[in-house]
Amino acid sequence: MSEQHHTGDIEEIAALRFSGIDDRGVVTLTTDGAGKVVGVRIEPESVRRLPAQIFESSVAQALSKARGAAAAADRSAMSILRDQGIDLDAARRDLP
Amino acid sequence: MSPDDAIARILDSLREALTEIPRSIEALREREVSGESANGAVRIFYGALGELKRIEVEPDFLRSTDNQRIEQALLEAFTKADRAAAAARTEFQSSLTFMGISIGQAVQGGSISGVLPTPSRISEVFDQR
Repeated sequence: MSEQHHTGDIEEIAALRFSGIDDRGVVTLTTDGAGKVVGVRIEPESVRRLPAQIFESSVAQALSKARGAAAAADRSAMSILRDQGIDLDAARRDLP
Repeated sequence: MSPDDAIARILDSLREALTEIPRSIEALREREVSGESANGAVRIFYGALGELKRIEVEPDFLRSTDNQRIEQALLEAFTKADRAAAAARTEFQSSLTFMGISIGQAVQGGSISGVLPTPSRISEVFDQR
């Protein structure tokens, strides 16, 4: 695989989208591969009944789950690259 | 100053920097930034490294605002908090120096050769090509 292909793979991972839904099913947050929020969806009927504090914890939980999924994908991608003989973690550690 | 003294001085500065940088990164992690929307009805607080600290949503806004507007307000506040965190990291990065040379770019994953000034002799070689 050429270096150009490796760069392409990493960019594709960053462009992936990851969603997290809170346990109440009220909030769905979507993040990019870096954990930045790019989409929000809420359940209109449920949200009216929730106290603000519970809603806030639902948002936090949805974000945590979406970022957890992004981190898991990142670990999987690193593992795939390692299988191909490329260890980005080691490369990061070796930086001056 | 003898070459040995110069090397010892550089190593001392390096040890000092290696002690100081993790402390600075920890301080950066603790630094709080925020993004808000809907006239402050929605506020997102991040640490400067991007971890979520807390969320504040005004109860009245939640009760009286339509679904789509709440979604937009949350997204806007998250986006602003992300930008604020990125700005704090950039500021931190540019503040890192070692013996008067900015090393933030290298510490954040760039190449040390990219931030060091090119020795004049090598510059001349390139100029002549």
